[in-house]
Amino acid sequence: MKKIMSSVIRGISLGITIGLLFASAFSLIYHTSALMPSTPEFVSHFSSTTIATIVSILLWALMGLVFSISPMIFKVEHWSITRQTITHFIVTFGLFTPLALVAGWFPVTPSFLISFVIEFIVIYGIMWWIFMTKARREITAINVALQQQHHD
Amino acid sequence: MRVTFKLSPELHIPFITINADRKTPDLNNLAHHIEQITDAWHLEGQQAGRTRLLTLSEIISCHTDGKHVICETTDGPYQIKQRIYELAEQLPADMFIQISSGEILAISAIQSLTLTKAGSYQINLTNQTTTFTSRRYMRQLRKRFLK
Repeated sequence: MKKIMSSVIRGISLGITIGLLFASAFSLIYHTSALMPSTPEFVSHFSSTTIATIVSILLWALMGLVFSISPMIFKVEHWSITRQTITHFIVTFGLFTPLALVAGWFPVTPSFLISFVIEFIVIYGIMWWIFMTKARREITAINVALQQQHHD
Repeated sequence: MRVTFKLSPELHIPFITINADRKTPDLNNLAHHIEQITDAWHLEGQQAGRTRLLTLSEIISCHTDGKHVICETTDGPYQIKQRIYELAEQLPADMFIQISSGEILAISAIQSLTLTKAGSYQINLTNQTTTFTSRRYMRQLRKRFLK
């Protein structure tokens, strides 16, 4: 429980830090005189920049929370690598994407969203392949050691 | 004293024989010591109402089954009183290895490992059964076999 709490706090802090870096980037790109939490379009939905910033901080914290909780999926003992990877994909994609969209990080255009989905799938495909290759190599090495032990 | 092995496929349960021309008090003493060493750690197992002491060499695995802990032996399954975490602490580390939160295996019972198509770590045992381990416990297997 203590471990979970500390990773939650770490996730939230990291989320807000990254959000702040994004805010700085947006402010630079849009040449704003003061720091803006996101795109001018996002800020225009709120009565003031302060409110927009507070909402943004909340969204960044939630994004951080998603990424601090999701690694626990890989700790579920009896799940296979495939099941862990797919569940992690669903949780991360399903929670992070709407948050990032609401925070104004992504342009809401079909072409962007399609390429985003494809990228996400490709990244998880590569991750799955690396996990499987590593596991197979590990098992082969242990089998060699076991063979030698049986012959001793 | 010279120690030799006499191996035969029929000898499923290992036993020790002392070879000599006659029985002496020294040899009696030795036999007693050997018995003490080999029985230094044993479990009380229950099978169909009868209780028996299990020796380390006959244990294949210990695993949870609902609320109980079952010890698979060369003589069939026995129910034991110890919990898995207790066994993990007490069983000799050079003979046994924990492969999940609910199972401990005799190292000699491990035949080979297989990665299933879905990516589960399957352990094939010498008694033709299979069981599973996880990435977390693979670390210990790696440490044990890939020193």
